[in-house]
Amino acid sequence: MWTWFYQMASPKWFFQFTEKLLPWFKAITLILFVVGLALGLLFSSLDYQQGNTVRILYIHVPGAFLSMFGYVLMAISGGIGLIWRIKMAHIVSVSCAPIGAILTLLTLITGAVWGKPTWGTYWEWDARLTSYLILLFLYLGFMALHSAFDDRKAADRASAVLALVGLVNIPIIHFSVEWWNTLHQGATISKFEKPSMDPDMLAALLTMIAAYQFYFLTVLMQRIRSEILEREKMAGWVRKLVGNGQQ
Amino acid sequence: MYQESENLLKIENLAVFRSDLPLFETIDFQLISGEALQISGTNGSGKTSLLRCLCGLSSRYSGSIYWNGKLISSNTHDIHKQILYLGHALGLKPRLTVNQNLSFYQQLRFDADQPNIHRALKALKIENYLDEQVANLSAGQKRRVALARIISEPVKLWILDEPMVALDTDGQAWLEEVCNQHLSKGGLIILTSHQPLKGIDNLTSLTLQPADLNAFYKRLGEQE
Amino acid sequence: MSSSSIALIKRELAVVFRSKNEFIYPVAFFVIVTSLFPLAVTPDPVQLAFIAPGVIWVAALLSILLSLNGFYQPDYEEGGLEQLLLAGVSGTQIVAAKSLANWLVTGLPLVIMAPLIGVLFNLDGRAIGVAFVSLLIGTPSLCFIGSIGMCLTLGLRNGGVLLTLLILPLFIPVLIFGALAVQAASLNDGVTGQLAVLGAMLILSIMLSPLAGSAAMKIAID
Repeated sequence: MWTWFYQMASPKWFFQFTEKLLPWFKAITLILFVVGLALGLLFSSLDYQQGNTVRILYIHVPGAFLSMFGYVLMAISGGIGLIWRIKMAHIVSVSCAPIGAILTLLTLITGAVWGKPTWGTYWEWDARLTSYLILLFLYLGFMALHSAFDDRKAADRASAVLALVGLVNIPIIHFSVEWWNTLHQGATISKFEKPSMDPDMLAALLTMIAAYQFYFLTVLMQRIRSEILEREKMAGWVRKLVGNGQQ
Repeated sequence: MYQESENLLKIENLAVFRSDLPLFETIDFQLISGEALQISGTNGSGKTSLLRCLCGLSSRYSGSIYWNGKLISSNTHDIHKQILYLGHALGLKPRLTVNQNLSFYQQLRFDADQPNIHRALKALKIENYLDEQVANLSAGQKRRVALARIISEPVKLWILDEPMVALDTDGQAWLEEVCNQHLSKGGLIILTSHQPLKGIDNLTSLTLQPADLNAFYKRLGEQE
Repeated sequence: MSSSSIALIKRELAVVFRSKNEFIYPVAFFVIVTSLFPLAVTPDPVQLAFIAPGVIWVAALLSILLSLNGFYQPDYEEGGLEQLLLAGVSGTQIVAAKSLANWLVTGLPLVIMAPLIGVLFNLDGRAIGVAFVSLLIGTPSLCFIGSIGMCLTLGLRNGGVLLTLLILPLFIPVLIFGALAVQAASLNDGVTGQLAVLGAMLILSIMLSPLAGSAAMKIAID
């Protein structure tokens, strides 16, 4: 277990390990997206109230799920980097931020598009959308803080502190916003226990969540790899690698 | 005052970094009670960064720094109290008076002991400015106020970054004399200065050699 | 509270009161910003009473945001923070003492001034009382939470703008419950729940902010 942990913490090992993994992840992501979109957009049954507009759920809900997952991953790996001073953990943390921010933005946009036929307006200050707007601010703050430092080590550590503070705050923010306004329909995900959704809708949604999850991991891997190359550009193995690539 | 027992600062294989690059060739030295060390080197050779690492303010180094056999990186809080560090930024509040500034720092470490402050300011010939705001003093006077802390807060290890700057010859002579008194009582001093300090006893000198970056890159390059 | 914390708080207060008028600025800002709303929105008393809770809370939040810099940045630049650490004061003590001093100088005058603004905005007696209490419990949280953002941006160029981006999202829960309490009071609803949540947030921010602020401060000094 520990040897594995230390291997993972070595940028070089990670780079070489993911070299073999990446094509598989790309393939799985592609397959899951094709299957999930086909199930969701073509074959799943319609909601008796919302009609075809319900289909945006298959893009919106996984995005919402993964943007939250991304923040938690970012904060926890930042915390690991801060406490145990592991370079690799900071690389993971920093690489999470833009993906999470994009997914949050996607969630907001699809939420607004969904809102137009459902509520009659693009933007409703409802609890869920407002929480995600604040989540977007947290992501932007993290990225802005990281880029404000000249020194990478200070940037890594300071933004990890910010991510952890944000992690403590997310439940509080969510709870406050819930209290402040509860216009949104009940949580879709929490109904998994007693599915009020049709089984075919549920299958489509779960496939799409898996697709987003693999998409997230694939892009994260790619970002980590470029971050490693950037940071380790003076190391022998990177120079050898890049040199071979050019010749 | 401080204990008469021997104190020891030991540095092993120390390299100090600025944005991942080493500033100077690794150094080793040790300093015992009654010894002073002058660190010299060209501009940008890492003198100030080195001093900040020795104080435990900065952790951008590799190698080991021991104070009385304990690693400073794991006992930072205890060791801080035994160090007086004066850097380029003097740590004085411009709005407060000389007396307020000095007695504040003194209170943090010791019980209030006004005569010490008086004695220090008198020796530095700025006793008339006791109730003057620091903002109204000249650069040299501010430096003298900060230096008064080496009298008003008796600790074992002085780490002084360019203490001679902005001091006139009188002030410099005073500083050398006070340093000698400190050493004879078993204190330790590390200071940087561009000028030779002939007046200080037991002074060894250490010149920082700029790090050979090509060799550093080569070592990195050989890392598998 | 240790003697060094008390000494530190005294010093912070002495620095502020040495300058004859600087501690007036945040309060003046608070009063001026709130008085812009009747001019920009409407002088109608009913509508003013309706927007008052939000206006008072947003203005208080912004005044505290503006006051943060003065308590940390000069001390960082003058080398005061590192001297405090070397004198054996822990990072958490520094942040806690500075947050408390910041509240005494900035937050407390806002709390005292709030009833006056309530009168100008045609709030009824009970709502004014609740505004006073909610600010009394809520503004210290803002000073404590703000210290984290301030310590993270020490020594950065454009630190001020960045501070706003970092810290406003973290202020939102306090803003929501503070304004909700006043709103509920002006609608003659119960306010115990909102005030209790504000109290919980205060305890949480007093416990956690000095830890995060101290970690951030040491990164800046490193």
